[in-house]
Amino acid sequence: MTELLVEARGLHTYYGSHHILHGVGFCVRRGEAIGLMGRNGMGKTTLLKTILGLVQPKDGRVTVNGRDTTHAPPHRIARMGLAYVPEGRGIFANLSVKENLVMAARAGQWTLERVLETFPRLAERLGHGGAQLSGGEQQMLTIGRALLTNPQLLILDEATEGLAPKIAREIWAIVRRVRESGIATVIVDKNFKAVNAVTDRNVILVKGQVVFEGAAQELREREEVRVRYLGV
Amino acid sequence: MTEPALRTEALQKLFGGLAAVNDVSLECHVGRLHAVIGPNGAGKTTLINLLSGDLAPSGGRVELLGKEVTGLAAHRISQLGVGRSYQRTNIFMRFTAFENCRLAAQSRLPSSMRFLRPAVRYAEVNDAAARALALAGLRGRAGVVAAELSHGERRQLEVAMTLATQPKVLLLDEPLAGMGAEESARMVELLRTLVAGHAMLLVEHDMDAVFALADTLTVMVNGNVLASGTPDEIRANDEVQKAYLGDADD
Repeated sequence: MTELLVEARGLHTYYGSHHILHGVGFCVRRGEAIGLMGRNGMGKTTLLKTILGLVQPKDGRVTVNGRDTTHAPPHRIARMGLAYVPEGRGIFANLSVKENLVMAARAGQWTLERVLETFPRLAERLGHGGAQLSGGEQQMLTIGRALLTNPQLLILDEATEGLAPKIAREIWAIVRRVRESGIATVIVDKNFKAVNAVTDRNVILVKGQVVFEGAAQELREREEVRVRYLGV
Repeated sequence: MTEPALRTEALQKLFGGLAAVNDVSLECHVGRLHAVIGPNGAGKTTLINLLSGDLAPSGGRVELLGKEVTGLAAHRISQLGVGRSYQRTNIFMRFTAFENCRLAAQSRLPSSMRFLRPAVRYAEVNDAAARALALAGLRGRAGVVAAELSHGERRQLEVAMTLATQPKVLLLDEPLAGMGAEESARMVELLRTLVAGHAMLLVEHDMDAVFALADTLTVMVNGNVLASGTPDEIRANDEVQKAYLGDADD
């Protein structure tokens, strides 16, 4: 099945007078894993936020499962199956780990039991407050919370930022498992090798425009593109 | 070996019943970089807070240039020659890079904080700010408002602000956080040049950078020192592999 899950066309997004996205086209097919790449400040997070309805584009169109969501509020877009793990995590500090996990849960293949099996560290801390967790545990909590909504698409924005190498590896192993379970993913991360290894397709943004789009394998082989646009 | 610029002995910080930092003894020497690594929540930032005076220790001692400074307030420790940067960028976004540095430099010359004379007229402060910007590689960006700087440049500016206080000891908390490949490479080069004139303590998760720069490493887990040694010793240490680095090599 290669049906389109998310399709964005000709997106122009501004922050005040700053023109951030300059006509970006971007799509996600069912079950597909995409690495969204580019240096700092090139518009990656803005593109994700525009798709999620957190920022309104001035021009262009976004559809989810074929339905126009361009000006839909974020909660409606979330209910259509898009889950977001934002940069900086967004844990509710005054809720317990369990409350954080189940607050937006929906029935599906990812149950609380399965999430706790995947993240045994969270199982040990169910009664703790969200703020008492270490950085790595908070990151696991945000991913677990997103999985419990049983999304069709999981968006990870800098999910390994600030994490110890061992924890970052655990996160990558989990991303692989999520991918195998058939959920589509869009991943933004500084670690090119890790993203490239777990994704099917890679997209590179430069100054709010798509400058490369191709198979992960192709980007592995095209050093000149990597050096020019990513510096790796 | 020469006398350490910074030395701790059995340093401890309790938060209620939790020992966030426990029995940590280490030394920092001018011209050498001492890296502190460990899992999230190991107590690395708390350790820096104890060394900078942002937190008062519950036990143990801190010596700076041979003198005990345990429990002194942050501004006193800063004036005695300890500069620190923070994990999250801490700059004035509406000031230019130069103005941010000048403000930091003014802390060295309290009389320059007088209300009735514009800060621009203090040549000494201006010179220190300009030197710090140049050292941090931002000479050409002095007049740019911080909000307009890239993420990497803002981190460089933080280092410049730390340098503007003319410290002997530099405490750097994850200066590479959030940086892309090229920005990281630039920061690593900057740190390498700064080690020459400073005693540097670096907390960082980027292991390529840590192993490229460090002369000595201390690995913390749950507030305690798990291991301490040269990069080669730490890399070969099984316990460190298990607790922090993990097994795979990627």
